[in-house]
This record gives sequence, C-alpha cells and structure tokens, in this order.
Amino acid sequence: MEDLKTEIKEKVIEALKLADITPSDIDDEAPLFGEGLGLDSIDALELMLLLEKNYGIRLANPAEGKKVFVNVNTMAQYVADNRTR
Amino acid sequence: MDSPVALSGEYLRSADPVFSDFIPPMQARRMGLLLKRAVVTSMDALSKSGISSPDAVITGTALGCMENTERFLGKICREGEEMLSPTDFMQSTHNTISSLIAIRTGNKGYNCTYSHGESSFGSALMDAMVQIRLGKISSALVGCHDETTPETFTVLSRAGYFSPMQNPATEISVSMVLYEDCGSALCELSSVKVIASSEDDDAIALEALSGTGYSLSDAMVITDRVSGPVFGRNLSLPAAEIYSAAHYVGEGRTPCAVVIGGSCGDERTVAVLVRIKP
Repeated sequence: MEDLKTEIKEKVIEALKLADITPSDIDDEAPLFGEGLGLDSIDALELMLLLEKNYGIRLANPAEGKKVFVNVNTMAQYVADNRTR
Repeated sequence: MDSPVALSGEYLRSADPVFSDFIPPMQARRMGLLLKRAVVTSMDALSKSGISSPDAVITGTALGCMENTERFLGKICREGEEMLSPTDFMQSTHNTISSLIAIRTGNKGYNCTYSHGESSFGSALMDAMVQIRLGKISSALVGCHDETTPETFTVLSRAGYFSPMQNPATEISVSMVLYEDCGSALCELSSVKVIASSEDDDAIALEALSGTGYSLSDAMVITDRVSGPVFGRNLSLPAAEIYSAAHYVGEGRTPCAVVIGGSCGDERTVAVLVRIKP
C-alpha cells in the first residue's frame, strides 16, 4: 500500500503540474481540496481522468469523487479495491 | 522591458521575465507560456494605470494559446477522444486569455476576444474606443497576445511563411489600458480605422489623419512592414508598433504617429492614430 500511495502522489504531481512539490511533501492524511494541497474543481476532473487512465477506474457518479478524493489514503484504498489494471 | 535587446534571425522568441516573481506557482501551474505573458503584461498595465478592475477586457489574438492547442490536438491523435485533459481543452481556446484576466481582476463586465488574423488587435482597440465613446464603459484593458511555438515555426517555415528580414517569426504580448479620463497621460489613442486596401502607406496615413488637423509631415508613419534590429521596432504585429509609437510620441519627438497594420495586399488595413494630448 505504501508503494501505491507514493505512486499516486507522483501521478498527482505530474497530472496537476504541482511544481516544487515532491511526494514527501504530501501528507497521506492531508486534505487534497480546500486546505492541504488546495486543489479545485478542475483538479477534480483531472484526478478522475488519472484514475481512468492509470487504473482503469471510471467514476460513473462524479459525486463519488468527494469520498474518493478526500486525501491520499482514501485514493489509495479506492484504487486498491477497484483497479482493473 | 527597460532596455532594447538586439535580435536577429527568422525565429524571434520573447524574452520572458521570471514568472514566479509575478504569479504564485499554484496559480501558474495550469498556464501555458502565452497565458503567463498575458497575465504579467496585463497586471503591469493595470498597475501603472491605477485601475485595478477595468470595465472591459478585450483581447486580440490571431492563434490563441498555440502551445495548449498543439498539446490538446496531439493527445487526440495519440490517445483518441475518450480521456482528454480538461485543462488542455480550456487553455486551447482563444478566449482563455480574456477569461483568465477577468477572473484575476474580478471583472464581470464586457469580455471579448477578436481572432481576426493580423487585424485582431486593431479590432480589439476599435471595440474599446467605440464603447468608451458611446459611454458604455469608462475603461478597458486591451491586449494583443500571440506566440510562435517551435512546432508552429517548423510547419509555417516549410510553407515558406517566414524570412529573416521581411517576415521573421515573432511573438507578442502587449497590454494597455484605455480610459475615458486620461489624466496626466502624455499621449492618447486618437482613432482606429479600417481602411480599404492600398499599398501606399502615405495614402493610408493621410486618410487616418483626415479631420485631425495634422498633415503627413506632423506624423510618424509606422507600418508593420518596418523591420530593424531592435526590439519594439521590428515586430510585425500592430500592438508592438502602437507601443513603440506611444513611446516615441510620448517623448515629444513628433505630434502624432500613424500605425498601419495588416498585411500589404490584404483587403483591409487597420490604421491607428496615436497623438500627444492637447
């Protein structure tokens, strides 16, 4: 699971062009939206794309993203439970 | 830019500032090069004018954010149309520049983008002037922004579009604030006219000067066909020429300047008159 978390962090940094941020800067429990990384609604769309491209996970209901994208821990758990590749 | 920079060759890229000095990294992360340039020049123009939120944001751009457009089209070719990044799509549209500036300045008023080839900036200027004179707005941020990416340069070079002296590949990002009360401004934009095609620059200048009380000998005529080795005088887009004209007129070197934009032989030519304030 730790490897998956690091991998997700790397992909998030790349997809969202988070310059000057490294995986170690992102706390597993820190909120991705609002405080913490301070992401916005466009980032949410990019994260949905990230899941689909890399793990074959399609979020049919965008509202589901609110639970998935709480922090790196929730993302990693969701990927581990639902990935198709 | 405080001092001129000598340039040569047929591919003249802009000299960019350190963008992080102007835009926080988290805000800049989605912006391509052209958007960053547009934001920096716009914020600089607004800051110098003392107007933080203009009534209108009007942009002229022939090609829009080409960097993002190329990336977006490339992904369509490579990955199909199923999983495309919303960011690349958003940034690839022509009106991204005006929209972003409106968001940053809190402008909820008139917002328009002209993408009319080389007449784009002239059209944007004319729109601002007409609306100010009609009393619909009292201030407008007008900009001209275009980039020449390496890919665009390669493609257009193959088509024989560029040449080192006559038509070098250039980039432009110029912003200016037009407003009703010019205050202590040294010079002003007096008129923008679309004139029927003519290859005679003096004839175009005379038409632009008609009714102003100035003769040809009072004016500096600057055309987009002027070329030289110094920044601000050799760019082929009208915005740079207007910037240059305002600079020279403002220094009191000549009472007014006529800037002639548009390609020689085009059906229409844009003539812009810049003059010292009475």
